[in-house]
Amino acid sequence: MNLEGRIAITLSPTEDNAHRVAINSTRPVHACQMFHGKSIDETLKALPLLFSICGTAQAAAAVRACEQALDHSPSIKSEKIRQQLVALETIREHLWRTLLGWGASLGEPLSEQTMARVMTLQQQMRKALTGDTSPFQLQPQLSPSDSLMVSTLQQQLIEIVEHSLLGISIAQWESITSLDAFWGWSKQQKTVATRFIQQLEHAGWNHLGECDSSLLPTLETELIHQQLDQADFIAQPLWKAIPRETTPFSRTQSPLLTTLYTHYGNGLLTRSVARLTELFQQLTQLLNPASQSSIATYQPSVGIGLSTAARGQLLHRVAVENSQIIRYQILAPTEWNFHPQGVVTQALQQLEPDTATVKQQASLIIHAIDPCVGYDLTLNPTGTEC
Amino acid sequence: MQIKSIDRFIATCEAKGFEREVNLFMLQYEELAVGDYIVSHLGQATQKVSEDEARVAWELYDEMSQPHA
Repeated sequence: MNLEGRIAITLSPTEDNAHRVAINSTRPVHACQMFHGKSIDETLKALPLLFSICGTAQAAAAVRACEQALDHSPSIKSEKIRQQLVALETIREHLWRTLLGWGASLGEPLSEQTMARVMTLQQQMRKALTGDTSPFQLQPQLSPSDSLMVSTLQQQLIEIVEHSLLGISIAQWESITSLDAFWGWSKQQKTVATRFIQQLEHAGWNHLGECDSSLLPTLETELIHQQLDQADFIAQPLWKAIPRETTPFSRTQSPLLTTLYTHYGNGLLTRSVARLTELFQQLTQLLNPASQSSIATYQPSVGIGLSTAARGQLLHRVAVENSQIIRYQILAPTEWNFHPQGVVTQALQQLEPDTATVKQQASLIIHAIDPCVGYDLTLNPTGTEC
Repeated sequence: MQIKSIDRFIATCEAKGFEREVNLFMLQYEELAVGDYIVSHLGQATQKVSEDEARVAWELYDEMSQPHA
């Protein structure tokens, strides 16, 4: 058992050459009720242990929610270290999806050794940033960071991504803004990323999954608290009655992404390049990461904490009384993105049923948006109700 | 999950009576041995945890399976 559950996705062909999509989740989204009655310290210590892949982002959102509920302000240093650790986790997740996920899609031997090296560097960097201390406690007492070591490890990670994904330096990549330069790069360099992009191009899948999804905007304080008081909101969130997307695509900007979006919309190609772009941006900004946006205090003893997890915006809300938690809620990006009418559904609906590769196409779309849990994809060729 | 046996990078792990194979390849920076505890995701070990941390997590999982008001 864990806090994650699974998602079942079923595609059934429709008469108008598209698909009806059913998404059913067994994610135990109200399981964090287990923290009701527990102390804040106990909760902050235990909560990250329950999440196997985004524990750092969860820990960051949790401590921020508790700090707001208690009217504590974290030190600038604590917040910076938190942002660095969350960015490091995002870098790891994007590398996992690209080095291993894209490699698997190509049917290539997986770059497991490279990924294992990334995991080792990540662990060393965590140690260099915080020693044996944790920034995810109230008023943390942090060891001084080993800045020289952090910088050295950052450089090693940069070398890995430049060699394994780009074939050129990140600075050269960032100078690519036109379609000609982009396709030139993808043809000239021989990396798992360029081969994956060429696979999309050759298969005619650059636009695949293009849809009219609405991006998750900045959440207004009063409205998000009101929504979180609604029983069904956490399981199937809507913002102003519309399903919203929160992904690397929805939050990453660059001149190249603007160019690709203009030509290919929010299909597979643009989403894949958004992941790469965010990976490089987070890696180069690791020593001075952007600060996390927040939601203003709404009522005493209630706090909301945000963090930008690899898969999207994570939100925790906590209510405390006498240093104990009386209510705990987690709103995860998977609930936004895999909402029954959300971006994944909209993208999968576009797939043409009568193609031999429909399952492969669906898998690519799902991986591009990326659930934080395992999923089961079923094609229901008869179109009967499941 | 607790590691019951290791064969190169594949560990047989156990939790609450259930056994599962887990790939340890990504945790090469850790010294892992029979009796250690790990967190896994989709068959890959992602983190080594202490016995205390594993116990705390399992107590919470047990609470999860209890009905809440």
